[in-house]
Amino acid sequence: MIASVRAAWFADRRRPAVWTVTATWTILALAFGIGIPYLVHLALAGDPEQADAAESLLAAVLPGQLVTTGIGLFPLFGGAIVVILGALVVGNEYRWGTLNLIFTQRPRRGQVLAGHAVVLCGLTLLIAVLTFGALALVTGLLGVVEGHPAGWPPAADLAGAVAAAWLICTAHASVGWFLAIAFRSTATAIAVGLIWTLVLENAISGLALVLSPLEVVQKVLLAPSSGALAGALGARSQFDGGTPGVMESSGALLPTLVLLGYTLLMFGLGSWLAARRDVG
Amino acid sequence: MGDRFAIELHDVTKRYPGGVTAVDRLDLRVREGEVLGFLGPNGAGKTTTMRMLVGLVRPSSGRIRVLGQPPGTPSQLARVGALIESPAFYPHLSGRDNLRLAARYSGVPDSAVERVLTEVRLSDRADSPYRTYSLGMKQRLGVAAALLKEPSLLILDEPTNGLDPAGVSEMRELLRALGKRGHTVLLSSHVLAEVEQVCDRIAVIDAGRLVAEGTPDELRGALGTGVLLIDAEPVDQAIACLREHDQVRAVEAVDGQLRVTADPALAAVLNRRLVTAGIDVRELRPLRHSLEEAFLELTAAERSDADSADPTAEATDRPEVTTGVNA
Repeated sequence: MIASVRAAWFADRRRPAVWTVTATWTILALAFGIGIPYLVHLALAGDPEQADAAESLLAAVLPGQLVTTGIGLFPLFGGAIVVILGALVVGNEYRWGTLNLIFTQRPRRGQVLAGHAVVLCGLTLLIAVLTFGALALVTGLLGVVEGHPAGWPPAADLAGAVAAAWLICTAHASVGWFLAIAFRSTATAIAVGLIWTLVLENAISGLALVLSPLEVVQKVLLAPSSGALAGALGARSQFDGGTPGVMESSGALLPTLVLLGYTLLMFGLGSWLAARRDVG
Repeated sequence: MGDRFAIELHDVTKRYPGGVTAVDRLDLRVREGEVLGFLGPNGAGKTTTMRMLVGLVRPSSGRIRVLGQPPGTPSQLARVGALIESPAFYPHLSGRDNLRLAARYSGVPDSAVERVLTEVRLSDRADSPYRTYSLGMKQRLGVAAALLKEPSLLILDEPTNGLDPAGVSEMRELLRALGKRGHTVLLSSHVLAEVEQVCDRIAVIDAGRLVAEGTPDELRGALGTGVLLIDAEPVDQAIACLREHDQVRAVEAVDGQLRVTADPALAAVLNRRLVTAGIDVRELRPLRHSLEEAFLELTAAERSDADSADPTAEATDRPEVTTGVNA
């Protein structure tokens, strides 16, 4: 098992696509989380009638709201990007035919896939840490530029937010991972994964506002659960002027369990499918 | 060559969804230490069979044992090196890194990577990305990966595909050396001259079924041409003498040699007849097929059988072939 993890890390860390996705997401997080709100703040700052809105926007890009600003980015934007990462990590094995190579070495197929899954979890942790690290750096700089005291959030809150972001990313990545195995294709997995998370689940969430029976369904969906977890950590929902994808939540337990369930189910199903199907 | 079998397939069938039967009740055994040529036209089921031997594809029915174990188990894979169909590696990694990756999966030390790179003469380009490799270099890397584990059994599907003549020659030498070192090799190739030179035995499959099996000599000889080649002087007298024999169907002179259409079992009788008539006989031998001719005839016979609705056609039309170890 350790050999499989080492081998998967050896291959995955050298894939340009992995680092392209990671860098793209980090830049997007900074742009949507900090850049755009700060630019809007600057645009509104000179207008006395918009002073409250401008102050609210500024507060959101300062270290004090690092947790809520950061975690709010993951349910919709981060999740979608990480679906792509999950699909890339295993889908390219089908595209390049490299399963022929690695399935004829020594480990069982399940061990090979578990190795990739562990590496994918490592990459999602890296993304979560990197995102919050970059946000902390830029919000800290803005604090200095704007002359506001640092006012960092408690370390436990920050660790909780990183862990939640990791869980959201891992659950989404596992979906991309499973779809790539199911379709034996990177492109189809990405297309279906994005339609699933961005279109289908959002459509059900929208319908749940008017069709109450769908509220139960909504609670076990991936994107709404991610939004509920972000909401439980204090991120403002879209209806409250917050980030799209964030939902009001009564607690973190249910969304955490749902996301854990997705992660285990998708990794398990993918491994089972790849282990029992013919290759070639 | 040992008495044990490295590969045993018994009544193996592989049907794909959609009804395509790639392998049809195949029986095949390969002795340990043997180099077996695995021949067949495109779509005959060679690659599917090889995939089944390493567990990439599961048979629909039948029994497979590779080195005494079911295919695809870790202990079996640890002793098998395979290059099946075209080589497949990570395009962004160098040849060396691709091998290091395979070594990590196999639990083989990195020193083995340098050994196999040298063996396939790829050390000079080992640090270039795989995507920049020519077809021949990709093929060499595929063979290197197959050799990485110092396997007891090598399964090579068209290993000379894309190699230049020098590369083909080197590969042939490598395969010969592997055979001498006691490795069992299952070699699929369309280059029949290569198979003939390297392999101890040959198995021919067509439409998923074993058509013939034996040494190259047995395969060539089994398909009797019914023609004797005789080098005799004087030619005119020899022709007249042979035509008088009631079991000689035809005699013609071609490039100074006589081609006599008759049962090869008559060779001794005809030789005595010519000598008794005072004719010098310098050479008398049955005309034999080349391996290519034998292959074409065997696979054509199989197709003819498949096309025929007559269930007795197989027994009557197909040439009888020696069946080596399976006999």
